[in-house]
Amino acid sequence: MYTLKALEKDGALPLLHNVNNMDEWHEKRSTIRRNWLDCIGDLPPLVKPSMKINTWEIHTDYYLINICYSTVYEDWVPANLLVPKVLVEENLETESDVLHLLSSAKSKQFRAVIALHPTSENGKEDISTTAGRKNRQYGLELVKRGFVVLAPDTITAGERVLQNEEPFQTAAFYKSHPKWSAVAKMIVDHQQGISLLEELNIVDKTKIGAIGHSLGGYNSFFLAGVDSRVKAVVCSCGFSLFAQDPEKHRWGRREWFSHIPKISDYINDGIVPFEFTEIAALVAPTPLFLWMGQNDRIFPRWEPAAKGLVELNSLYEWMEEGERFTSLLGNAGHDFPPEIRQIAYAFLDKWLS
Amino acid sequence: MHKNLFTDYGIPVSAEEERTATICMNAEGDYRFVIAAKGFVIIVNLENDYIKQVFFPENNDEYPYSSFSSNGLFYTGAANMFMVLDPFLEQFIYYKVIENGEEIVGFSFSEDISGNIYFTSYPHCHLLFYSPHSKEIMDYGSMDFTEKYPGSVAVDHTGWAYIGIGTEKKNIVAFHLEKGLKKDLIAEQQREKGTGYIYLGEDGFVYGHLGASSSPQWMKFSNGDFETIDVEKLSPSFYTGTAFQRIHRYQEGRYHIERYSLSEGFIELVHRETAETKKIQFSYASDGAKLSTIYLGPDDHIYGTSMHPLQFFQFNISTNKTTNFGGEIIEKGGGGNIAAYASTGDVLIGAAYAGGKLYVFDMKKKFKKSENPKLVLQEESIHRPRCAIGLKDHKHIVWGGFPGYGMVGGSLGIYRIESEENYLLTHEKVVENQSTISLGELRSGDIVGGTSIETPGGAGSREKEAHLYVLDWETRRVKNSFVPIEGAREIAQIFVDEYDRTHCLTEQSIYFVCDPSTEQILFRKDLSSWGHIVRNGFAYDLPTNTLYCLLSHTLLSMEIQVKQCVEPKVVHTLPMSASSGVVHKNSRIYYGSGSHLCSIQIGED
Repeated sequence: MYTLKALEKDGALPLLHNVNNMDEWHEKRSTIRRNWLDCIGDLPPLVKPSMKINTWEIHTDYYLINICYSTVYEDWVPANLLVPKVLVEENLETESDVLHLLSSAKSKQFRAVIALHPTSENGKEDISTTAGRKNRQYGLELVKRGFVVLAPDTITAGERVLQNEEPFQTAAFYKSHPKWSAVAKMIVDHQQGISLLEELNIVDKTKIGAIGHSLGGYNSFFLAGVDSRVKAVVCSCGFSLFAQDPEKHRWGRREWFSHIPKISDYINDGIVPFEFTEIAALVAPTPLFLWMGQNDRIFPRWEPAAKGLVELNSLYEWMEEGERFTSLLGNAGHDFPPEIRQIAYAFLDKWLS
Repeated sequence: MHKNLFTDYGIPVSAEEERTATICMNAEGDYRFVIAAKGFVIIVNLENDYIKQVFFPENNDEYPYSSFSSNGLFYTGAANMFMVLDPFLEQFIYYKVIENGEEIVGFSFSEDISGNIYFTSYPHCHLLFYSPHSKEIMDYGSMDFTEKYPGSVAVDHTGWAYIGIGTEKKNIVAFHLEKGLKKDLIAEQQREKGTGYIYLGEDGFVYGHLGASSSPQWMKFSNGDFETIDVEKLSPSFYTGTAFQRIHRYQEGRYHIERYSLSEGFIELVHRETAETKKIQFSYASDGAKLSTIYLGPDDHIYGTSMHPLQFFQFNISTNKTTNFGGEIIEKGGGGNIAAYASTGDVLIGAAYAGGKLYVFDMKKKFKKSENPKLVLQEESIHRPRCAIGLKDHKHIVWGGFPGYGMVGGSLGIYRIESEENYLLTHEKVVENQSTISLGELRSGDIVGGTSIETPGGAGSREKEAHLYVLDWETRRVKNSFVPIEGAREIAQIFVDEYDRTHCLTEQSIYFVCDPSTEQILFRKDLSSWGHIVRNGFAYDLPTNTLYCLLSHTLLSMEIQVKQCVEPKVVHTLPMSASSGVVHKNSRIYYGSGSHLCSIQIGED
């Protein structure tokens, strides 16, 4: 537990504080994880994934299949599943053709990523279709690089915006789940997405990664921190700390998307149970790529976050896994520029090959 | 519900058109043949057949219009980017986006005796200067305040530049590079439709003529003036070939270029000393040629052509297979495209740019060069066809479009299939100074037409608003003509429903329904938030009595009702934007997206 004052003044304790060997790190990691899960309201057991195929599109070099997959508490997650097109002759006339494509044992196995969208009311469309914004179409770009891409809608976005509700309004969610958190809900939905990818014969289940920008960026390392099935993580503009954050209740209760309500209770008491460097550290030693910009208006306090990057680097180095961590700091805004995306994709290529 | 929402069938025509070429020779005598194309150049070492494709800087994917060679370097322009390529380094060594309000720089090129490069721009006929030494670019400003096409330029040794200009009022301008003195060398009464033409002779003098006639009056220029000379006294040009086949410095190097084609991927050469021939064949990466209008033929296959180059293709809807018949099959097709189709029985008729060519396809027979399709006529006053309809009498095709370069107001053609006669109604008899770009047929057999005030052939527009008109079929006279939408420049699409209401789209995506007999506007809605219009965006589905409207980003539908006009509904946002349309078949809408052929479903099979 940290006081906000101490965080402002000195930052969080070094990750390797009082850690002399791997056992002690595992113990510390367990504590961080316990605090994290307690704060977000825990993660329920996963359910067996099932999938419904809604519609599909046939593009020149990939298929875009609009699906929904099952998640906990009898909910369904709408998603776009993008599959590289290997056989030009393949023609998907019927649903069984699509199922055959996804489940054929003879299929070539692809690397896969779960691609998580930023704060866009269009949700998955922003990253997996040509209608997406400039510098946000990483799902589309990755399928063209030969990855199977699962791009789900997070709650309150895309197809999950409730009728008569605005996007990114979590009030209805908390009415149904007063003790839980949107963060835990997103994590478990994304875990179910990983389970779905594992079910598909065309996916090499040992080569599944996560990528996202902004909301999708922190969701990608939140997911990898609790789910070791994720073998490589890319986070763009999603790493930010409590320290010096001008938006006091950014992670707690607020007018719109409330991530972790319990955080507001802590903050009102002048304390926080963790710092986000520690949450990112849960990912180690899984390969992690973090990109951030010094002119990011959403997460304007880059200096403490940059110190967090140094901390994470020290942890990976200490684990003798230094090459598995890449951090980039540039003078860009809240963006995922083409040159950074290329480096990020090369990172995924390397660790999912 | 059929769930295959969208299919991209790929690129029917994977080819690019050459956009001029040069031979670049450096100080060591090494040389390269360089072909300019949309978005890239092809560098060819004619000695060892080595080919290199180099893309324009900054992903510039626009068309070049001219290219030039000087001191081993290659110069071209595309959109407002001026570019310098070193073909031996195989890279662009300099480029600049010129922000002077012009749309295309590098419309023509020349150089002075010091090796400085001069080039022109569209549409305000600027003259610009580039110093290879200092990398400085200077803009001398507009050389002609009314014309758009500065198609040729040359600089003499007395410090004067001469610019050949077209098209509505041809001109040759002399400009003193130091003093900034500008002179129109052509008397006002001589400035008719056509193009002034200029070239630098091998003797260093500038020559030119005013074109148009078969035996032009040649001129020799000096000190900002000219004298007329006999054709025998001309010095040879550094150029050979015409239009985009032109080659600058064609006489350099050991090989003479006999023929070349980028779309077909070959260069035929003759060794200048040994007369030995060789053919270099090559391929390159292409995003494909943009598709023009597509049409459902009488045999239920989709037909269409690409643009730049024109290649004719067929798409079999039942097998999803594309067959590209190439460019040769369409006689004199060149860089044009078939922009409008109509059919009756087993006859398919295509109206093509450039030159207002009408092709008749016999769909019962195999396609064969010079036979099927048959080029039946060319009509310069419909140089750029935009619309065609087959009438209910199964005997006539009515077609319209824009006229040729420098002309205002296109004709309306009435083609009788059996006799191959084409009856012309000039724009004065339809809507003066305007061109018919959309057509429909009323129950009475009268024709309803929509016009455009635009003049894509370089002339100045003389009108303010587009018209709808009704042509009495019996008398071939316009019964009434009116402005349906204030300020609209084009009535780009027409569909006449079973109640004789005319559904239209303007160039600004304003959808309106009117009764052409009473001139009453029954419904109007701005659809521009769903995209801009595409070539041929209306498709009618008889069983559901629904009119589909394809815009660049959205497919909309309008249910046709007896008593009222209903609000358009969004059917789909398009996964790939539309640029040309439209075929409706098997509950799918087929359309062109740039160079791709796509379809999107509209409902139950």
